[in-house]
Amino acid sequence: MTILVGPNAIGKSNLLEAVTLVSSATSFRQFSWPDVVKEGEALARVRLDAERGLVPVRLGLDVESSGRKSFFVDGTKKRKASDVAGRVPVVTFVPDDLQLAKGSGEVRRHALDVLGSQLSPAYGTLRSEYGKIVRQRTALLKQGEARRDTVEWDEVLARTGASFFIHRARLASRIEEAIVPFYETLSVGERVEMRFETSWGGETRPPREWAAASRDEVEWLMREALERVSRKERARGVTLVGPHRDDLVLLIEGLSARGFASQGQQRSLALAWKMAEAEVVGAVLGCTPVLLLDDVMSELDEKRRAALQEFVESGPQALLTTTNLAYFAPEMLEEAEIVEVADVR
Amino acid sequence: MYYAAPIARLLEELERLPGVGPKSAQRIAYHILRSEAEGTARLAEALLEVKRVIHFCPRCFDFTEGDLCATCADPERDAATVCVVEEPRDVVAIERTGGYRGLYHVLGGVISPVDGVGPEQLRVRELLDHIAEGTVTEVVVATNTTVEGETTALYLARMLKPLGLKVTRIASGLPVGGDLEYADEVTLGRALEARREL
Repeated sequence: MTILVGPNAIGKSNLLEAVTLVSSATSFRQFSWPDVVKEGEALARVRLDAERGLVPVRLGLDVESSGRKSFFVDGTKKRKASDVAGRVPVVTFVPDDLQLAKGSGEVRRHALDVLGSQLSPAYGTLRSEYGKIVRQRTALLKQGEARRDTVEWDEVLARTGASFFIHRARLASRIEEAIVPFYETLSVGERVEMRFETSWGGETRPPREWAAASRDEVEWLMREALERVSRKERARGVTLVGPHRDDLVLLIEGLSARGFASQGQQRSLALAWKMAEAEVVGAVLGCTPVLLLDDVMSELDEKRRAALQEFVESGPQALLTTTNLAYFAPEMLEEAEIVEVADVR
Repeated sequence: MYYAAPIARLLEELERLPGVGPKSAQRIAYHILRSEAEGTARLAEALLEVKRVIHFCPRCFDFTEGDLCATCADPERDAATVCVVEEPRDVVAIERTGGYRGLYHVLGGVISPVDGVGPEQLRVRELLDHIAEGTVTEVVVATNTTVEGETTALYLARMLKPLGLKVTRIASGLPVGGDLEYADEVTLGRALEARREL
């Protein structure tokens, strides 16, 4: 366990972000690739030496100021992010994750997709192909001519969208399975459940049921829905149907967390979700993830801090940032390597 | 200003080339400056000549120096089959396999609304004109397996099937020698969908 301590705005989070960029080609912040490169510099470079089991893994990332990026695995250049993701699995926990309960559907979709892309190259490929289809189809709808013909784009959206959705549902059902006991412990006996609210009809069903649905059924439902909203889509120039508009609803004791969760429940849910992520990574990749915790201790009360501490100690390695070591229990500080961070930016 | 003006101008032109960044441009420029005048003249002449001599084959829209390209002019080629590709370089790739004896049609891109490319911007009209002559019975769609290539293939199928043609898509999926265990689900799924009888 390594704790990075230092005042705000000094670059502690940048360090954690560099780890997420090189290991999973993503960030817990809103970002675009050109922004990764320091103003006025030509190149940003990250190198990461890790060990998986006993096997050394060396990851690399070069980003040019244009945003062009190359990944490296053990010195070999890789073109796609999906070739790198999952080599050194990480789970991040940042203050924004507290939005998992109350935030919009996008927060939960993003959390699932980042995890899924680490777990399976197929998930990552489907995610990026699907994103491309939505951008292309939306560009066509924006061209605005009422008769603009989207037949082919509807077809590929339903096809790829159905595969993507089922992958997502499979992952969500694993998260649900793992989150239930964690949340029950944290909340002292409360029950959490998940439901998919899809943008393309079909009933609101738990993830495990959608995970078992046939691709043909989902594809058919998406096609039907596209037909229903076709007029509205043309008028508004937006793609209204598909996995990019779905929501994974969290229920606590049968009530929507988005509507009703208290501050405490939100925090417990976010923490339980992260624990569930780590467990699913372990089960799928057979290797416990590195935990990256950005300034979350300050967001939690004593009880949840203790739970987080236990969680951190259960993993092989954790990098934490904080502005104040007083948030950590003395026993934890004894075991941790503490690094005082001066301005690293 | 580090460079004399003529060198700067050369660098600027070189950097416009695909895959050439500032460093490669500098390397090429210094190589030219060091090499003998005849070599450079040959390079310049070659550049000018391709632009002067090469034009699109009016039939398949591949690059050619003759009236028709070598493939279209070859009476031995099977005129009943046309293979539709995105770019001239795809013709080269398929020719290299030595396994195809039909004709080609180069679309000049793929449908991509984000880049403002629709069917009207591609050579679809010209393909239909070629087919209207009546000799073609099969169209093999060999656009790339990207989202845009797939969508373009679906579009062509919708245009061509009503004309009573056989429209086929090249199988995509496992590369030759690909290890099944490591192929991801998407590729494997596509390979399964595109399976054929042996």
